[in-house]
Formats: sequence, C-alpha cells, structure tokens
Amino acid sequence: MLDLFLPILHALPVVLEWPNILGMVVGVLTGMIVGSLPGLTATLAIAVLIPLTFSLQPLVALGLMAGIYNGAMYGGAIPAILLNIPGTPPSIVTTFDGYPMAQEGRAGYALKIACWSSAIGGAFSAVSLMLFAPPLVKVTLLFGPAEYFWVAIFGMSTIAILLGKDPVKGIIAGCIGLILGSVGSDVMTGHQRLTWDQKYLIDGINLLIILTGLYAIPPAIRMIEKGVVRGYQLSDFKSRPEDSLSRNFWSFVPTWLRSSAIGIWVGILPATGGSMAAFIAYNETKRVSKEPESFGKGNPLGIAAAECGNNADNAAAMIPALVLGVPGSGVSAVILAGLLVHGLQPGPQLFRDTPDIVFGFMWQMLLTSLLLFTLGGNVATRVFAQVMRLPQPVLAPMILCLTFVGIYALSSSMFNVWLMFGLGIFGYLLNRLHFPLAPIVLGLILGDMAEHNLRLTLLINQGDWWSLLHNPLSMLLAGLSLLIMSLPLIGMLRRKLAGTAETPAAH
Amino acid sequence: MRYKITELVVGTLLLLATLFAWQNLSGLPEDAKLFPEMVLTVMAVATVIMMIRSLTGASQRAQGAEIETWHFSINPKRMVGGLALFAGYLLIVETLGYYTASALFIIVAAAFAEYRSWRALLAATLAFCIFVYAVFGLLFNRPLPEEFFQSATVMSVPAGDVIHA
Repeated sequence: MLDLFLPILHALPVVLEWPNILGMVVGVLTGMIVGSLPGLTATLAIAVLIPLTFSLQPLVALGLMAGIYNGAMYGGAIPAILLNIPGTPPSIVTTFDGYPMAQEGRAGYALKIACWSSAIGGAFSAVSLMLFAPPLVKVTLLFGPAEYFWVAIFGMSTIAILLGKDPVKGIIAGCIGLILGSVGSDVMTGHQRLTWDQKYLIDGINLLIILTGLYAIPPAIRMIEKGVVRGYQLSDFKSRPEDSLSRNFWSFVPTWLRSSAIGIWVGILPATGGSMAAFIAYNETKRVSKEPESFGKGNPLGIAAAECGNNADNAAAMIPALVLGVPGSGVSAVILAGLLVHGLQPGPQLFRDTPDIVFGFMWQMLLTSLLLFTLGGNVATRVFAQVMRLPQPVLAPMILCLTFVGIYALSSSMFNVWLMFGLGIFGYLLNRLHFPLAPIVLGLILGDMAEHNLRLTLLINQGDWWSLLHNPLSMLLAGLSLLIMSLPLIGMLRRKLAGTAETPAAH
Repeated sequence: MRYKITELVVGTLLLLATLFAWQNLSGLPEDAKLFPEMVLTVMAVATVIMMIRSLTGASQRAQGAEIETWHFSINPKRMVGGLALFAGYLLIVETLGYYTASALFIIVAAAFAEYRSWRALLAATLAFCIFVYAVFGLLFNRPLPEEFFQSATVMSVPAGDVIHA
C-alpha cells in the first residue's frame, strides 16, 4: 500500500521549486481575474494559455493550469456576489445568497466565505485525487486493447450524450472531433487521410489550433457583438461587526464537509461538472437546515455550500482523466489536452514513467487551492474586482491578439492561424445552435486511442469483430457504453408512458 | 422558425462535408479508412436524425424556453464586422508587424464596438503591447512577425556594412 503513495511524497520537493511556485501563483491570480470577468471561463483561459506554455517545463505549465482552474472557480463568485452576475456557470448558485448579502451591506463577509469555502472544497478534492487515482491505475493494468477501445467509446458517449440538452448534437460534435483527429498521415500505413494534398495537414491538425479556435474566438466575437462599453460599477466591500469568519468558523464545518463529499462524487462522474455539484450541495444544505426559508435571502451557509461543492468538483474531475484519459468535464478535457501537448499520455504509463509530473500536478491542485486563502483576501479581491471595470470591446480584441501569439509560435505559419480563424467561425456556429464543444475536444483526445486499439484488436484476432467482447471486462464496458447511449431513448419512453398514464386519469 | 432554418442549413452543410470527406477516403486501403468511415457513417445518420428532429420541432423543444427569444446573432452587423476586422488583422499582421497591427486592431475593433473613451483605450492598448513584449517577447522569446520599421531599417543598411548586435 505504501508503495502506492510514496511517489506522491517524492514529488513534493519538485513542486516546491521556485519556477513551479511562481507558475501556481501566476495561475491563481490569472484565474481569479478571468473568473471575475463575466463571459470568460476557465476553459477559455486554459485554451489560450496552453500554446503559450509550449516552451515551459511541464510542471510550470501544469501549475499555471491548476492555478487558473481553481482561481477561476473562486473568481466567478466575485461578480456573483457583487453584481448578481455569475462570472462562471457554477457560480449561478452563489448569486442566490451572495447578492442578497451584498445588498444587506455584507459583501466583504460573503466574499470571505466564498474564498474560504472554495479553498476548502478544492483542497478536499485534491486530496481525493491523490487517494483514489493511484489505486485506480492498478486496475487499468488489467486492460487490453479491446478494453481501451471500449473505455474510449464509454468516455465519448457519456460526454456526448449527457453534457448538452440534445444528445444527437452531442454525438455529431463527438464525430466532428474524431474526424478532425483523423486528418494527417495514418500512423499504421503511412497513407494521408483527409489532407487534400495540403502539406501543412500531413502531420494532422494540432490540437491547440482546434482548442483555441473553438474556445477563444467565439466568446471574443460575442463580446464585440454585445459591445458593453461601460465597465461594471461595484457595491462596497462592507462587513458587519458580527461578521467574523473566525468566530463563526465551526458553524460552517458540517456544510464544508457535506459539500466537499458531494462535489468529489459529482466530479468523478463523467459529464456532470461544477454547476451540478454546486446545485446539489446547495439543495442538501437547505434540506438539512433548521431554517430552510432563510436560503435565497442571504444565508451565509448557502454561499459556503455552493462554492465548496463547486470547487470540490475540480480535482476530482481529473481522476478519470489522468487514470483512463476520460475527462469528467469540459475544463478537465482541456487540461488533458494540455497534458498531451506536453507529451504526457494519460493512463498507467503516465504514473509509471513520469511520477513526479503526475503527482506534482496533484500537489499543485492542492497548493493552488490553499493559495486562495492568501491570494483571495479582501484587499486582493477588491483589486481583482476592478478588472470588471474593463469594457468588453477593449478586452475582446486583446484576447484575439493573444490567440495569434500562441498559434503563430507553433510553426511561424499563417496557415495555422487561418485554420484557427476558420475553426473559430465554425465554433461560433455550433455554439449558437447549442452543440456542446467538449465532445469535439474529447473526440480529438480519445479518437487516436479508440482507433489504435480497435485496429490492434482486429489485427491480433485476424479481423474477428467478436474479439472486442472477448472477456467479461470488455463486455461490461461495452454494456455500460450501450446503456449510456440508450439513456435518451429510455427517457423518451418513460415520458411517453407517463403521458399515456396521465391521459386516462385526466379524462 | 429561424432556429429551424439555421439547423437545417447547418445539417445540410454537415452532410455535404461528410460526403466530401468520404470521397477523399475512397482511394485508401481498407485498414486506413475503416475507422474514419465508421465515424462518418455515425455522423451522417446523427445529422439526418437532427434534421428530422428539427422539422418535427423536437430539437427546439430540447432547448427549452430559451428558444423563444433565440437569435443567431445579437447584432449581425457587429458580428460580421468583428470577424472581418479580425480577418483584416490576420492579413496585415505579417506586413506591419505584431505590435503595430495589434495596436491598430484593438483601437479599431473597440471603436467599431462604439467604445469612445480614447484616452483609456490608448492606455489599455499600450499596456497590452508592453505586457506581450515583456512576457512573450523577452521572457519566453516567442517568434512574432517583425515590425515593418525594423525590416525597413535592416533593408536600408548599405550592402557590405557590418551590423553589430
């Protein structure tokens, strides 16, 4: 048992080298700024950042990403409390009690609760990542090519079907990702696929071009469209004398523990995300409360539950991502892409070949959560909140200029930049029609794994397709994938049956 | 209605793209085209289902109440203008250089979106250029298109003169 966790301790001194610490600090600060700007998300920030971190050491780059991830999730609470505008999707739940508290003149206290709850939820989540990921990796050693094929299909189907409101659009988005991932020379035969004799496409489309195009350009264009020329005006950061977190600390502990457990559980489940964690944690806290009617009117426990649940999802969502290469959410899919860009392939080999990096990343998820205590104080939050005064028409072209820096630097080629622009327009179109974008990224990441293992299984078994179901484990994974894919049909049947049951009753 | 039409147009484009990709794969050996053809088949079937759902209204119902106020663009003029400005930026960036083109783009794009606080805009643009130069130019040494006045200076040096670093 000890040999499972010794590498974790071994990675700590590496993480505490000063470039890695600097990476984490810059990441948390950037994340808080991005999170506090409505319309900007952690996914966008990481997508813009990954190409820029190309020349950095992997742990510095991962520290930046971990910092942005945790920082942005807290940063989203700042406009949620001060303006009733959620900075990130999960912070919608924070507005329920955060904004009423700000209106009562307790904004400073509400922000402090949000900061502490985010840090505690994030820390618990990182500890769960350290505890659960290493033993799960041992399980994946039982997997052969057929099982890996089904793991890829399972990951794709869960994200494609469960993430958006329309599963058909999720499937189409996943297929788009798989096809974009097929562009370039076929690794096994050397034949060019879908290149249309373009020399720039022989090596395939770089993941970064697709990520930046899909995630950074559409929101920037949307900002120019909206053209909100006035920055936000903020309410005061006041607190009442009785609003002392140290005095009320123990009253928050049960909420923090409950919400962390909920956030971790939701994080491990694929295609759920921080919003669901925040909602469930909030509802549970309200359900067990002696004063449920005070929720939504400025109850501090409401903020604690929402922020703690939301941040407890962060590192936990990385468990399936690091162990199996199947991310649990959109942000973890983009972080996984960041790992791939730095030459780190998820799965057992990641833990075997580069333990300092993978366990170092787990430490970084923990340390960046704890950094929120120091960097997310009242004074700092006041400074970050000033960023909300930055008007969107100025911010949008700056984001677009930054995307150029990242993509041009890949090969000093304008072809890549134009490709990013084209994908940006495509992303905008898909976005407006409610196609989820995460399945595209997942298709890119898992496509290679699915194809390689499918072909390997068929090659080993002389083209016998039944070999994909040759043992109970592969059958179980295939069954789970089938179950996920049939969920929309089951839902439709249930609704129809409920409808027919209601009709006679109504008559 | 607008949502339905947009979905049908996008569905048709996706089907055409699927056919186009299928045709590109046709000359490849079985082994190399097996997986992409499987994916293209699933994509074509899903796209046809999406179009049928769009025609029956199921696709719109799946999006809930949000669909009642749906517009493809909040401000089509600004959307097209924003994209055109970015395309223009990409066209001139290699000629003018990164910093000059970026400064121009930020100012023009902000003005286009009706931001009129010129002093703040110039200050923000200058701060952005300094930030990018310090972080990506000096610290990370990322390659960026050279400024037009730099290349003009290099070209104006008479042949045979030695340029000292």
